[in-house]
Amino acid sequence: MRVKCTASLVLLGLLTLGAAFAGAQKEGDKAALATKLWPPARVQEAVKAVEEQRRSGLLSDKSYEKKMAMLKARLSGTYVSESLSVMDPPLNFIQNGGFEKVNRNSDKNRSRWLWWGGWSWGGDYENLWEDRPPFVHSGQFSARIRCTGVTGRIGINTPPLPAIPGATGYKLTFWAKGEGDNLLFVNFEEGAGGVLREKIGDAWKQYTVTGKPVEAKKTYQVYFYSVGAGTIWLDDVELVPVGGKLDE
Amino acid sequence: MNRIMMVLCILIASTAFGAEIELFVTDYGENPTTEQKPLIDQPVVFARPQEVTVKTADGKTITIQSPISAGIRRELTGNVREAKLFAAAGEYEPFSFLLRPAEALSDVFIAAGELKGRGGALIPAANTMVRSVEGFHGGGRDILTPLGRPWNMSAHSTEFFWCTVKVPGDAERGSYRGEVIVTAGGKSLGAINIVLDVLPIRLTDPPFGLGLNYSKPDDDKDGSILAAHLRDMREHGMTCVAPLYNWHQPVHDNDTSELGALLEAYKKAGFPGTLYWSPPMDLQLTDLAGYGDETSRRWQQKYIQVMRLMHEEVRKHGVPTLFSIGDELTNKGMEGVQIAARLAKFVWEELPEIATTSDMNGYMEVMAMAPYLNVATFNNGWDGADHHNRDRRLLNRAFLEELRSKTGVIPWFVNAGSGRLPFGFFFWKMSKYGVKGKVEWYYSLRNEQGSLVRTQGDAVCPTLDYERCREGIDDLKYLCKLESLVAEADPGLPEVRNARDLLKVIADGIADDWTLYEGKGGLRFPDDGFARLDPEKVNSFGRLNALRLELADAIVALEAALRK
Repeated sequence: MRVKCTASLVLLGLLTLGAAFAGAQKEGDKAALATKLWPPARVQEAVKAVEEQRRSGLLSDKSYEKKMAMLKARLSGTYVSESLSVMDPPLNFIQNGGFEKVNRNSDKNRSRWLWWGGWSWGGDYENLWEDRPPFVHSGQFSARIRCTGVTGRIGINTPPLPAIPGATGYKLTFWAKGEGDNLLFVNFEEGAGGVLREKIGDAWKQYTVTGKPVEAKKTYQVYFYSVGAGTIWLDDVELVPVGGKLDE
Repeated sequence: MNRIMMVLCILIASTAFGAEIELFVTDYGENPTTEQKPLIDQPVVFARPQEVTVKTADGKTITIQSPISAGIRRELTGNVREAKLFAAAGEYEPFSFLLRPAEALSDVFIAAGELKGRGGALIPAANTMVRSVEGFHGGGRDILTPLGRPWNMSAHSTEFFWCTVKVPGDAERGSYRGEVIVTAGGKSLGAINIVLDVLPIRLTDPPFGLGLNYSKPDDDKDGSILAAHLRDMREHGMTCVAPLYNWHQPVHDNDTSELGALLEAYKKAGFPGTLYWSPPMDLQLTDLAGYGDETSRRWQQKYIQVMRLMHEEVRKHGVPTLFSIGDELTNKGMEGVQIAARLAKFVWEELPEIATTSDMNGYMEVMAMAPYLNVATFNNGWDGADHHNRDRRLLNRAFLEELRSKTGVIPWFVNAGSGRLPFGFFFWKMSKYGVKGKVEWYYSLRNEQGSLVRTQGDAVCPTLDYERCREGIDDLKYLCKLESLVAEADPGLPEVRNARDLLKVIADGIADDWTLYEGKGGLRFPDDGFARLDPEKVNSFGRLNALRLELADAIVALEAALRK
């Protein structure tokens, strides 16, 4: 018993030490990034710009005082930005790939999700955030695209995504589940090419499509179209470059 | 001939203004309808009279105690074909009229002649532009098009026209007269008489940012379309522009040349105010997709890079510029409010050299962002789909005072109404609570719904609402002119006291809440019985122009007193 307790205490101590080290590391990273972003010359230029904002009637006296106090603290090296981030989430070019951030102020035949566009090219379809657990792969929601009458084509799409210099492909993975006589059409467009056209089965399954970059194109997009009847649920979409160097 | 037709013929025949055509000046504040009456045929309305006594046609006497209002429509005494105008040198002044022939007409045309003043003073015919009201998006969004070639009209058809007189900047003061003549097959059918009083005053731009959202024009290889559009906005009194869609941002390259060209064109067009640069809102919405969200290092570093590139370009041209960083994040519910707060604070901390604003549409979003913005730009606000704003409205005194005292931000309005009142008297009243600008939706949105003009290349057809925006800004010019004269004059002068009284009565008469005017609010300004509205002047000039005339008279009197 005593041995177990001692081991637990040691483990706890190591974890605390680890967390403190990670925190210190993060603070160190932030300080280094701030130093890089804010050489004294930039602070001086910012001071002049803020004074000009006030002269132009674009800054109240109260806001001027607040901004200047921040810049003075930067000059003296005491300012610690609360917003500046040194952390990146795991690389995934699809934002809101889990469809957890919904836009309730949206039309049924358009995107219902932040970071996703949406359009209808005819047919009777509705898009909706799905929260019934069997139809959600992870988190609280999945994306549901349901045909309510005549078939046609409805789609949701990513915004233009940045091409990665040197990448030989873009690996897209997603989880899907279907019902009825559905047909999913996934397509890389503009600056990349790659297609999947498949009826989606009634159990959650992960699919993969690789997009091939088109030379000299700076962006590309990914579209998920429903072109059949029935219903399709999508969740946990990820996209990572194959090779290449990220724009830092 | 059926009974209805007979009645119609009797009505036309019995008019005192021509046996063959109905032709009369209308109220240009009204959207055209076939039921429109002559401007001078407005009922005189007495608000809240203590008692009204009416002797009826059959000799009975009826007395009504304390009615809400009493309107009286009198026999026409004036000339329905006379457009009475007043304007300062350099001002554009409109009127509208209606034409309805009793029989079919061929080769109808309408042409304006020169306006003649005393001592041989002339305003050339080219300065009086007659345009036809044609269908576009309906109501105030119908457009004014050049008359083109002569046209045919069927019996009892009605057409509507808008006439704008551009008073030359060097016009002599005094009264001018001229005609707008209607012909068919070259023969005169009738005319609108123009009586224009050129005032001995000069108006200047009001000290506010007043502009429209604007998309980069298509196929504008030499910049001539951009120049034409900017010139048109400037001629409509706008003091700034709010570029929004289709403008290039250096996300996937370092190219800021398009922004540079815009800034040069903006300067050349003579805009005195701040450029309201809206494309950065797309950095948050879509343009930095693939870089994470606003809390990630990659997104933040890319954002800083793009914004600094654009700021560097702005600096080269010396144009005060606001960068709008967010777009109606209330639409995304509380999640949007949290994004808004993080975004504003990040930009404030890491890009303080850039003057920022955000287009906002809800109470919590504004209060979250405002402490970190130079300017808070907002509309009347809505609840959000999750009702997080609890019905708070924003275009009112109470909110403006709360916002400024809690955050110190400078308020601007966005999408707070186009037309005369929102750009004119109402905006002026709100400026008392610190509002410094107003950006409105939208110059030309690919000619779709919401567009204030229809464009084809560099040709621009204005809507009725767009023309009314100019009149609102002109109202603002008169108000600001009088205020500035009052500020510099001896307060003991009787003319100063009169001017102060007038400004106070006007300010007191304008509600401190836009919600009362829009939609079902039902309020109008100036309302019936407004103390400074002379019913006779209302019938000659229209309600708002009658009030503007009071301002003009006060300006003339005060300037005369200051010269003594």
